[in-house]
Amino acid sequence: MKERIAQFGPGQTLMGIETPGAPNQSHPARPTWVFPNAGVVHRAGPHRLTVKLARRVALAGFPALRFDLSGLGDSRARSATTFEQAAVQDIRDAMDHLEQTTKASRFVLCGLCSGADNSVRAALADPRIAAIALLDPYAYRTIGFHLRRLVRRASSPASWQTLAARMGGVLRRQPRPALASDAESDGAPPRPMYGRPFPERSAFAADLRRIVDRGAHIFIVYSGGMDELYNHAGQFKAAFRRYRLGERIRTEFLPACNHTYTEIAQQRRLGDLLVAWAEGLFPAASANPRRQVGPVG
Amino acid sequence: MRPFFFGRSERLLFGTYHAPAVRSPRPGAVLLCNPFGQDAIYAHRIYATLAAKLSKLGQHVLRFDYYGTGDSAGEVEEGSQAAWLEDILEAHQELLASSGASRVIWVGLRYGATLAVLASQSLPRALASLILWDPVVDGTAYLQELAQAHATFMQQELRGWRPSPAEDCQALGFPLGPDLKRAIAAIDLAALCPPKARQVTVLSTSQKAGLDRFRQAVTGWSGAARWMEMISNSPWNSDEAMNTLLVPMDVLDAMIARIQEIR
Repeated sequence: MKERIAQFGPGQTLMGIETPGAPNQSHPARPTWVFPNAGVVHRAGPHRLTVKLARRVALAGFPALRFDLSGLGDSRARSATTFEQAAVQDIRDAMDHLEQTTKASRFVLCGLCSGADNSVRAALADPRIAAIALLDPYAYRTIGFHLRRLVRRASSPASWQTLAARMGGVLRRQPRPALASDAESDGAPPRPMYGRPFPERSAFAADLRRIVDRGAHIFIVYSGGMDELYNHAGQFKAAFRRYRLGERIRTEFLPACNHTYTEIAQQRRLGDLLVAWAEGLFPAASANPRRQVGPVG
Repeated sequence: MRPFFFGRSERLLFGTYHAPAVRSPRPGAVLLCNPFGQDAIYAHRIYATLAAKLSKLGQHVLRFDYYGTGDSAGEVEEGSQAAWLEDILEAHQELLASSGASRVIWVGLRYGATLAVLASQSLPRALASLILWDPVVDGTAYLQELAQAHATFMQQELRGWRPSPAEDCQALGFPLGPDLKRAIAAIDLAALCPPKARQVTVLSTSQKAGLDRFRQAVTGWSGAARWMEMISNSPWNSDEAMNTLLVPMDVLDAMIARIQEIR
């Protein structure tokens, strides 16, 4: 698996590394994975996670490109544009480059945190994206979330100690510290996590619907690092039930993993999970995905 | 800036060469030696900034990833301290070939500084200068620091996280195999022979184990040795390091000034 340097975009100022798909597994119809940055970490990813994921999918026969969005890592900033607009254009430039140099015509985007947000934006803008894998995208609390958290707190000795301390405060006529999360219920806007402002649930649902309605697939993986917003495997389905998003969205909850998959065993687990999902959609023996990507544009 | 792969085909290393961005370049070249693990993630931005600034001042600069790290081939598990020392020497040759420079300066950060001291012993000719930025002086203390940083980070990240036997061989997402741990544990920079360099500068921004003893050792090295202390809050080995866009410009400016002094 000999990797190549990719330089593309305006004045060849965007920089990335291409990993060819393993020859015995590759199939011309298999899409190429594209990995934009996670947060502000350069293209190798937190703990080199992106390198490992790119090589893992390539070993399974999917070519991959990890690259730096403009202004991050070794890619030069674009002028006169917002970071979000630039990120979408950068991803499209990456796909143009791969289309020209490798004949790739369909792509899977995989992003962590802000990388997930950028993957959604790009999938809304470009029909060549056949699937997106979102690691810790926006999450929304449900009544079930609050109940589960309540039960967990009730069974935690530390919570009772905190309560006792607060009761002492009441007896001494001290104001009770406000618990912001107590006031929130299903439908309330969650606090932003990892420095990202979250859109309204309805707006995020509308974006996901537009993506699946054109036939693309979405794989959402929530980690235990999203504990303040997400605490059950079925929470996504509950949070978005009313929007009837259909069957092209699959979700997974990995409570033992932190947000950036620090532990090596969890990095491997994530890689295996992504590959299993992609192999289900794009089997090596078939020229077409199991579910045909529908009309585009 | 020219990214490229170099070295043997079975173990290609990723490098980025910055040619002098002036009409009359200086005759010098600077090799940047990466630290290990999470420090290397943080160092990417620092080294990219340092390389761009030095290039504008007429220096040739090469930054690169050791085998199994960054964008180089292989996995960390396949790397070793001995192999990384060879990587530094290989990058040195590559920089000589790319630049045609006769005077080479090495800059090392944290574990990269320690590797630079060790690798310099194998050079046929002395370096013009060696700049050691917060070197790892005591390997055992460094391993303890890595273990502590890993546990602290994971406890912050995951409710109820408890260390498992597997934690012993990883640090903040990077594997630490038994051979690598043994090699790191044996590091005692104060007890080493002086590096093969005409000048040595130690840039110290944080109080770490063994530093006082190392300072005494540096004073005894022949040739010009300079100890520079600067107050900086560089977030080595932390989540903060991963998420920050900040580069300690005061430290870089001091280092650049030192490099520019070298004749």
